[in-house]
Amino acid sequence: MIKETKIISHAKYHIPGGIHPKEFKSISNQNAIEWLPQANELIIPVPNNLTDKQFLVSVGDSVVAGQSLLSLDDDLFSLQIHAPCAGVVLAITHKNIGHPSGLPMLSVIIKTELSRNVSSEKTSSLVSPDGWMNLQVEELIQKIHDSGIVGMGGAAFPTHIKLNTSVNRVTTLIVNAMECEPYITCDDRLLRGHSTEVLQGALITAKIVGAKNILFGIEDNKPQAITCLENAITQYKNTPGENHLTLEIRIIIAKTKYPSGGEKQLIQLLTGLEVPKNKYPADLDIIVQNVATLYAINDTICHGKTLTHRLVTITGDLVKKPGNYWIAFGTPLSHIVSTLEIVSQQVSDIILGGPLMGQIVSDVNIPTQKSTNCIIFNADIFSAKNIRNESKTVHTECIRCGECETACPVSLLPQQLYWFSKSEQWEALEEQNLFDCIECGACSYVCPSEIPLVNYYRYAKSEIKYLKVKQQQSENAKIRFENREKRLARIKTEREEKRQKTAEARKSATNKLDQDPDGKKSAIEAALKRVKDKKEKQS
Amino acid sequence: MEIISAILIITFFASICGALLGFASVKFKTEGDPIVDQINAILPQTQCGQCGHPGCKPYAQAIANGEAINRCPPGGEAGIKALAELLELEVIELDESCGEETKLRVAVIREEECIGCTKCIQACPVDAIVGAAKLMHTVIGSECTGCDLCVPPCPVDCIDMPFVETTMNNWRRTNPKQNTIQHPESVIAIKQIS
Repeated sequence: MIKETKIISHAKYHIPGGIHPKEFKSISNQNAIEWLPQANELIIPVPNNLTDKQFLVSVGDSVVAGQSLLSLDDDLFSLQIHAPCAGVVLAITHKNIGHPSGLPMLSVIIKTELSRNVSSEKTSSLVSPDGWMNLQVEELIQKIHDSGIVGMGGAAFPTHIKLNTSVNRVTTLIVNAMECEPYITCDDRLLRGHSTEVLQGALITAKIVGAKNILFGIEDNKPQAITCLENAITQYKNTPGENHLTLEIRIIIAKTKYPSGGEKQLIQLLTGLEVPKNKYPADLDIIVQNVATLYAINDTICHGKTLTHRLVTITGDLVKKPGNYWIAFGTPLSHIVSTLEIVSQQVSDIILGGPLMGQIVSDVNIPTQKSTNCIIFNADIFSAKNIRNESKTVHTECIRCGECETACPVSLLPQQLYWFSKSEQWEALEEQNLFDCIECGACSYVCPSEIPLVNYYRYAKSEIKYLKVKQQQSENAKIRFENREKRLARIKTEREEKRQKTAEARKSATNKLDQDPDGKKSAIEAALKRVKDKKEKQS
Repeated sequence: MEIISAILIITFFASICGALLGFASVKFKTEGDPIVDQINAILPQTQCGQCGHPGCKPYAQAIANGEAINRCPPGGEAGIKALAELLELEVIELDESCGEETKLRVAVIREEECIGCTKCIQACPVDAIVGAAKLMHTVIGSECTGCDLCVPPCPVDCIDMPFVETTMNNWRRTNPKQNTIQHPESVIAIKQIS
């Protein structure tokens, strides 16, 4: 156990449920960080809310490393993408990128220039390390927006949006260094090698949102990372510059338990506060950022680099040299397979992310993305499908043992959710707070009947969302139909009125004609009147 | 004497109750027919007329009057189930004479062929087609219910009804239930926890 110091303390609170799967972290955390040789071809998926107009490059254009590929104008909700390496745009086309739907996504394909050394490309205009202190909050967020930074713990939510909604609202920045899923060690290695940069990123973030405290949440299975971080913090505290931020910086160590690295779980562990339903951490004056995100923020603000590479754990029993590698976004898995001499015939399923929550893919042409923190190449027997109960086409029925309820970190009733999902009782599922499920997979892991519970919840969530959209559409159609009916009825009555009016007018006209067929009578009368008037005037 | 007082008391209470009921019927009057609205809420609002009624509301009215609940192809099986549950009727199969349950479709006008006759605009039950006489028309895809009603009036046959494409925004997960044993044997799997 790590000794408590002024900086380090142990978590006072705990989360319900949780599991203790075997970690497999020592496979990859023994080796120092390396650069993966550059791939020949990079596949950069385009965020799916864009139109063709917004491309800054077209097929055949040369690109330099770190060049922006999209024109975003002032669109706050869009995400920038960059060319990770110098090269030529080969095509802009739809490619399979390993989305759970299996749908291809519009991607920019870049043929790279192999002559260049990868690591030398990661530098451009250097700003003085303290230069950011003088920048305005808006400028800092704009830089982060331009750099295309997303939450790199796995959710890939655009960081500039998260920061924007938290400015002047939060008092505490929580840094997520828990890394609770088995196999993954990239945050561990990042802290061991670059804790100063991560701390700097945290300071920048704290300045942006106006936080007064920085809490590093880390599990006790990463003692070296904790030491490195402590040293970095001590060093920062002992060298006060003129722009020194007065902040309380602490490391809080939690006992290793999955899924303590979930955003809401981490907040609960460190502060004892639960994020209420339909609320966000910002409502509790808290913002959570992953260490890799903070490293990227530091890189952008202090070194002017755009987000083009990330640290990825490559691990599994089929990898000859497992470890953590800097990999350019868009690198196809096939390149990793060939470079690291992985026997591709033996690979049954490749896991992008952790074994419990990651994505299982079988196509080696899929590229790595901003959220890909780990790639696991395992032979069949260790496949994640076993852990997640997806390996069999059939499973036995729930025996109502209640194991899942003790494992759920959100205190839901997984068993009830399962039965309701199976019988498609959507309303009951919402009452059971299905949407608070974080899909961590702890329930599937402990299930003795090997039911892929999370798959049921995901299916139910997807169906409920679909039905809500459909309901909204039919509601719109109903309103439009009713409005049309009203309009048609109105036009009909208006026509009827008009018709009646013209008919009446015609009728009165004919009546007049009947009384005075040629209008002679009235003409004579008028003439007589004129004569009479004249006479009166004369007399 | 007793009889008279009894009659008086009962008359008195009866008149109070009558007044209360009369007041309530005015004060809490329900607009329209609630059961028709409930049925209408289940119907898909495609307004396609495949049931033989000019729109979903008239069919809802007809169902309330005792017509069969299986005459709505766009609502499909799920719709029949929901109606059966609401009206406490038996679930029956879709009436094939009305049509088949198909995937959602959307009307698309081949714009270069459109002659601007406005016939489809008049046919569209949800005002999802825009255009003017002798000018090109187009369909507002997000508002189109895929009812098919604009197709027959078109004199140049320039309206297609393709299926709605699956995109990142509207894809759905597959039901994992397909992969389970419905009636398990008494086997309890003992899982090796690694």
